Amino acid sequence: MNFQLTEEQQMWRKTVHDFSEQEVKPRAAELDASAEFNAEAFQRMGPLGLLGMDIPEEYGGAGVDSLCSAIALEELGMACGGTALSVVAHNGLGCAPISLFGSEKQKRNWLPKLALGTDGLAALALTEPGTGSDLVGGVKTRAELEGDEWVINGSKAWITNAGVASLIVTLCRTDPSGGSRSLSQIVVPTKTQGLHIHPAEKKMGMRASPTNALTYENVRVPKDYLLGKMGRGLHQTLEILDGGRIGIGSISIGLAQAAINGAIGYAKERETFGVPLAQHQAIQWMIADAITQIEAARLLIYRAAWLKDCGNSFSKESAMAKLLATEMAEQVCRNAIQIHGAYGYSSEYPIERMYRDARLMTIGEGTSEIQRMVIAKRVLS
Amino acid sequence: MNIIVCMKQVIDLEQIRIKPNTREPVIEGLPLLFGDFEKCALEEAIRIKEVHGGKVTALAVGSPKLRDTIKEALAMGADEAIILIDPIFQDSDAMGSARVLARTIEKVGEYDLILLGDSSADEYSGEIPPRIAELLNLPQVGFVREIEVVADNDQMSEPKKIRVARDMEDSLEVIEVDLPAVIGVTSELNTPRLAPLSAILKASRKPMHEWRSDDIGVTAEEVGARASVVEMLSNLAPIQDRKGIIYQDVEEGVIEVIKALQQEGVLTQ
Ligand SMILES: Cc1cc2nc3c(=O)[nH]c(=O)nc-3n(C[C@H](O)[C@H](O)[C@H](O)COP(=O)(O)OP(=O)(O)OC[C@H]3O[C@@H](n4cnc5c(N)ncnc54)[C@H](O)[C@@H]3O)c2cc1C
Repeated sequence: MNFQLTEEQQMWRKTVHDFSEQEVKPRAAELDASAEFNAEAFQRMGPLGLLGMDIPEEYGGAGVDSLCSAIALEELGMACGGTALSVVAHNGLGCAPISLFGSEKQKRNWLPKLALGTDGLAALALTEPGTGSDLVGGVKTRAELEGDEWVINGSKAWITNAGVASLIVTLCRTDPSGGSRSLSQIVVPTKTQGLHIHPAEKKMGMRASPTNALTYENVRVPKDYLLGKMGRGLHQTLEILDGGRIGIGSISIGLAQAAINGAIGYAKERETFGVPLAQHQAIQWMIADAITQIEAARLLIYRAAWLKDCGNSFSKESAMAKLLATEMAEQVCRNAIQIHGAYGYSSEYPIERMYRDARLMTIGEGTSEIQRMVIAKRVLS
Repeated sequence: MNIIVCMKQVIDLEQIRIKPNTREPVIEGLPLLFGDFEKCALEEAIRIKEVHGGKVTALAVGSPKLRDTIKEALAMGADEAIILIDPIFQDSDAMGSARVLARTIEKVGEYDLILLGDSSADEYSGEIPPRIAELLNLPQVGFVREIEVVADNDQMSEPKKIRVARDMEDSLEVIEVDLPAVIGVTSELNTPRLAPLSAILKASRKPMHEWRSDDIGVTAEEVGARASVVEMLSNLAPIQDRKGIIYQDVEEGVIEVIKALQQEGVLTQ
């Protein structure tokens, strides 16, 4: 067993760290306030490889292991949760299904541009106004074959990156009789007629990441835009989400680490009752607990990533890692605010933003309750 | 154009702490990395190569940790690396280090330009570029913040000259120099690129040669502690003498603080 990151992994961490310090962190507060997407940073991410982390090298991607993407997302998460969320959704949700299930022609057609982000990002549309956790029972968006084209009708909700995407992988019902083999993934370029992308949602956190509702009104795409196999949409989606959870957990670790770093600095400087806060045992314990929980979550995340890289099954492990990391992040950010007192509650300091950002993490890509269902099912089966 | 970039690994200066009681810097166990100057030199070499072709070789002398550190140079775009690791190089003074570098450059043989940081971020002595130039009998320019390759009229032949701008603080001196030459650069030269992920992962597949003293024909008489004629007597942080002025009266305090800021040139009169 070896807990040491390789020299390449350490170098990659430093690269993403430097990039985040230069391009992402300085604008995080401003973009949170104005709910704007950091388009300039994304332009620079392509050449660095941050937009091709789930794309093989032969299609222009970075072709990296998931440990490297976990490291990158952790660093981006430390700088700006919203920017990191758009990166993880692009890579893990949008590009990954094309890399994993796409035909040679589909991969050649879409992946090289997505790796550079020149025409826009990728998105994955599962959730609908009426359903999120229960995709099998709830997805109403229909796709019907008419000659050589799919005709898609329905609506999706809460889709990360839709407003800045060039294509959206859409989970559609292709068999009206229902059941776990009734769903399929279809690629819908955003410029297709009949696809309406609504204005970005107004959110509590992750405000630098656009989230949009979509309406599909007789949207027509070629038959061969079907991704993977007909009727395998649910299975493909669950496989994608297993990987995506590692990413969400990594961002959570970044948020928690940034929050506690801020709190540690503050606790050393602020004095009460004649001594720095850091000398009060109650504060020390909060910090010690936070560091311990962050490290535990990080190990679970890295292990899930490692299992994935080894080609082992990692569904339970990624669910456990996401559950722990996201619940931990919320708790750590909460305590980081507590350590800051009133200043923690002020938007002058970044901690309250991290708290708001962290709050999403127990909901997106499967709620904590759904993670527990996944874990329990594996344990009890 | 073949360019050799000499790169020194330095401790991460951001992580140095000073022992408050003895004023000694705590440097044990700190990570080693390339400083900004050497990265600027490498960046410039890569840019020149991108336009004029040729090869970039990164050259470094140091501890076994170099086997890892050098990968950053390869990831950024050096085609090849030569690292020199030998216990006898340890505790060399500037003359010793320059000798090791010069011998290595001689052994490499084919070069048109030698780029390096004008000084190193840790010791900042600025001696290495002129010493290497002296040993190799080459022209040398320091404090360089701009480099332009002077194209020959005959497009097909290799460039024979470069034009450099030398930072004299109040003025820029522009100099044309024949190649091969030794150029010491400042960090104003450029902004070094961040290595893309795919290049980082491929860095270890690029050629890396590890040489020892025998490979370049230097002996313990010429380099290392024994040959060192300069001895560092102490290395302490300066005494920080805070004046600790406290104004009891707010009105007076404001006036005095404004005066002090004006004197420092922070506020204009
Ligand atoms: C900022 C943001 C970005 C998002 N990005 C995307 C995206 O890119 N693509 C996408 O498809 N979706 C996206 N979503 C949607 C997200 O994945 C869903 O919100 C999530 O899956 C939960 O679904 P829901 O909101 O419909 O909640 P529901 O499924 O209605 O659940 C409501 C509550 O009930 C609990 N619950 C549900 N079923 C059970 C059960 N069987 N047992 C116990 N408890 C249960 C849930 O845990 C939750 O607490 C995003 C959401 C947000 C807020």
